Amino acid sequence: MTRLRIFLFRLRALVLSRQIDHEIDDEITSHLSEATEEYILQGLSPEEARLAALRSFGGVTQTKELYRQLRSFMWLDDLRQDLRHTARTLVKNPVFTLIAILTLALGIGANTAIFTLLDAVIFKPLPVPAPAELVTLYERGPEGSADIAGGTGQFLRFSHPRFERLEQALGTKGSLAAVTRSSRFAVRLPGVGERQFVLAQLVSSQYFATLGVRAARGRLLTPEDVRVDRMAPVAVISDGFWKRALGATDMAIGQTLAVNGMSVTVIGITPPGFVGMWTDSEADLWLPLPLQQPLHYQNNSSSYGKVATDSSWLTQDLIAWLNVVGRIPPTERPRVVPALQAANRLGIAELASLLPDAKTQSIMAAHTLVVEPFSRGFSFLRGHFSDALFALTGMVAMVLLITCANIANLLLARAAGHARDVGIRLSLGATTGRLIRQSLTESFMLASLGAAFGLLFGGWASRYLALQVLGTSQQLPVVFRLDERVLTFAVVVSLATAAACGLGSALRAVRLARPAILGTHQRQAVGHATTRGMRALVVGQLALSVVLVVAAILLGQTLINFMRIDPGFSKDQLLTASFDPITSGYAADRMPSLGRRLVEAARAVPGVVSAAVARCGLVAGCSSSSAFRVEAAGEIGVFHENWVTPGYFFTVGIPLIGGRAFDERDTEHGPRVAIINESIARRYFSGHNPIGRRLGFPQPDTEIVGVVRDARTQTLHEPAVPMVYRPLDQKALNLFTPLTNLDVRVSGDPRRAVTAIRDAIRRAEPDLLLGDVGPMSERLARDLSRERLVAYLALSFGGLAWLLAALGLYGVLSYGVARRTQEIGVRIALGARRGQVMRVVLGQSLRMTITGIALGLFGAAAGARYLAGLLLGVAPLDPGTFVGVSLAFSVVTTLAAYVPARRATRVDPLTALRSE
Amino acid sequence: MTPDKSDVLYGTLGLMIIKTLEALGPLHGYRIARRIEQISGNQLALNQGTLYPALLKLEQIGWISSKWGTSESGRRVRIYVLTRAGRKQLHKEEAQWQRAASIVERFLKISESPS
Repeated sequence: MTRLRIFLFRLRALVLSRQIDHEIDDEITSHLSEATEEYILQGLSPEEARLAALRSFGGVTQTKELYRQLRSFMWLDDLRQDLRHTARTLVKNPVFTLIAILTLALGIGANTAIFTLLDAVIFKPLPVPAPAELVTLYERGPEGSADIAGGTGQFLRFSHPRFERLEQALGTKGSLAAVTRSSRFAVRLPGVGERQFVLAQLVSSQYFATLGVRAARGRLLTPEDVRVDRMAPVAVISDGFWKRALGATDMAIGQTLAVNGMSVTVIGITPPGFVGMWTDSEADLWLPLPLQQPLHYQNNSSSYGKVATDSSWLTQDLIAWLNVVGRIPPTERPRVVPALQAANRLGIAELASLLPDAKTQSIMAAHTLVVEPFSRGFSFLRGHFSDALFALTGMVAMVLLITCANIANLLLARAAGHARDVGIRLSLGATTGRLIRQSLTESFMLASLGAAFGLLFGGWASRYLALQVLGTSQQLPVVFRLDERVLTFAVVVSLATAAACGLGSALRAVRLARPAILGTHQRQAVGHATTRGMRALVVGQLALSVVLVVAAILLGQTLINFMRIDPGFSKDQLLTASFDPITSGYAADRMPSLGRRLVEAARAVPGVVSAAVARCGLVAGCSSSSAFRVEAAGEIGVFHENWVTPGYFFTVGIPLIGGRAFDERDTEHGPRVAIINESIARRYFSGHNPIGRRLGFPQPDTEIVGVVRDARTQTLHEPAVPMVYRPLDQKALNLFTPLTNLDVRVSGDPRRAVTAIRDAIRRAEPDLLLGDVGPMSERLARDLSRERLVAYLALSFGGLAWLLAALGLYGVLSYGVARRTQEIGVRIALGARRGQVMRVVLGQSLRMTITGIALGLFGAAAGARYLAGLLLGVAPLDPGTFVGVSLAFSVVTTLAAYVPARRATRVDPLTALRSE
Repeated sequence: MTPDKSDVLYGTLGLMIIKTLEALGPLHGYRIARRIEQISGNQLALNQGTLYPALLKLEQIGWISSKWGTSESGRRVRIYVLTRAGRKQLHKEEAQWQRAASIVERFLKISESPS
């Protein structure tokens, strides 16, 4: 109680400090007047009475000071004084202040931005209760063998019967949910004619219960909603979709959406921030799993043999299309996991028995179930960007360190200049703690101003970077928002920065002031110890910037090498358009005619040389693969497949190196033909002519009529995959593998043809939902977004580091010359030649530079292995880069040293000697 | 400072102030100071200035309260009043003080006996 009252008194005093100072003044004045009056009544003269009153009162100032201490928080009062003092100092040196705040803002902002990405892509847990209990299930193939469906050893998707088997094995020890990957569905809002693409997922009955998500409004899916025989389909929508598309009204619940032409009733809305389990690809709509067939969902799946793709997938064990996640408390896992694995083994054995030959059977049977913690959800970016983000985090931290070193140096120089002040204050009784505090106030003030601007800059930068990473110009997923995790990070970084920048100079000031007698020679002693500290900082800066510049050059070379890669097709004068006939409502038997009409429409546009349609576009993230038996080799291989129209190879510029291209002969009724790429020819027909040979599955029934050059059809990052091209007209009619891409070769700039092509498609096929329409070069540029981002950022970090290090060196040398003016003057007076003087200063610079470069190269070599995974066509220890950077640094530092060195030679001995 | 006058022990000043306020009712600072000097028969050299921090402390812990008013001579002064908590505390302190004083007195008597 009493403490509280004292606290309140002090608080009042703090707020009303000026008024309260007046109050005590008034009270003392009244007291003295009363006393004086009484002394006058006792017979003293007014003058004597006044003195007597003051005598009996004691010290007026002491009383006030004591009073002030009692009523206030001393430290706060001190703080206010320190702040006022610091603000004055900073305003007095506007250039220093601006540079310091600007560099800090850049440093802190860049760190905040990179951390936002790092956290969003790699660390942030899903916004659900107890995410640590979540697991994901997948199968691991036997070491080194690609799956029959062309996988990479990890098989994330399960068939529905297998999922049910696992669900049964788990029982009540936890819960499992099956979910499809986000996929685009065409949605028509009530009362709106236009359809729009919405990312949606099909989910099993326990999906929301497993994740622990509760409805923000309405209700979420229950087992009743997900029953196969349910007549009226329902859906749950995201908070974002509710606000964006349905006007955030309560009326949204109960409204009917047309999803791929099917009426679906909205029953609830998920809480804000919940976007499904792919945080970088936000789902807006969740539908019951049994709607797979009526909605024509046939994406993201693998099949193990002949499947009936157009009938419901729920009962088919040969189609794997579901990601499985679960909530299993860690304590239950040791008992539950073996049970799940046993159940899965039975499922695998059943599946293996359906496969055609012994080899694939044994591979299938060797798959094992893996249960892995899943607190962070799935991410499309994580695998591709992890290395890059960690490397960038390291680099941006180095930039901040260099920034800090620069500011620390400036503050040190200033502290040395203030040494005499500090000496006086110490001898007048200021405590060391108080001095350190005052010194730190300055760096904290700079750091907080820097942090404030840094957060603004960082918020903008993280947004920009996230859009680059995602390769989109659309709305940014919530996971990239500045949240309390990012703010905490920024505050911690700023505090650490302030401490790092300020503590050195604070301690140095006090240490120097200790022996401080206010003598004249002190300046020399101060200067000496200070410059040693400053030089160490500059050497550190140089070393870090060497590391950064080496990394930047390596990454820049990598980007250039990537851009120089010959993709195997001709990307110039090529325009490409993606579309989605299934979602647009096209039936399977309309695919070939759709393809023909699109080609015709494109050819009619002026400037178009040729056009072709394909099942999968180039570098479009679309792939389809199957097993093939190759006649001559007698082996089964897994090859990528693409269905194309005649003129495809000419249009995209993939050269034919043997046989013929597809033409009008290759119709539905003609003999089955295929064109293979060099990879298959080399691997399976080494030395022999593949033309006329056959391949196919299960029997080799398709004749090879041509061989084309290898092309990087999937991504520039990977070498060409074995590829079989087939004529579109000979494609078995089902929805499983629809057409998705139109390629158009034009005679001029493809950018100028974009609008005309888009309009032509719209006119020809008004119902077709179009994706990207643009030059192929833009699509390839998106494929290199990681390389570009990393290279550009590394180059700007490296450039900034270089500049800061040169400034640091310049600053220290200038300070050194200024401090030694007298000495230099004496030397010159004693006959030293200007050249000698210059050599002294340049020699100093050279020593620092060589030490810095040596340390930096060592650091770069040590850090290179972290970059190795990001480089292409350049060794992490590329000698040319290392030597080049060293030479470039030597030149720049020498230039930076030249100015102070020249200033030293201009010292006038007479002026210098007189100055003391 | 005359040597035969004792300095006021800081701790006892508070007690003197509240006792004064109990005896005379609401008073302003100068009156309290004069009263303490008079009661002690000018035995105490009170630096009148020390009174004010002591008053502030008493007010902070809630034994007295204050408000602005007018002195007999018409000056604007701050008038201090004993609070109920202060009154209670005064009785406690008085008893304690007397006990302490009697102990010290006895102790001094013992010391006086020849050793």
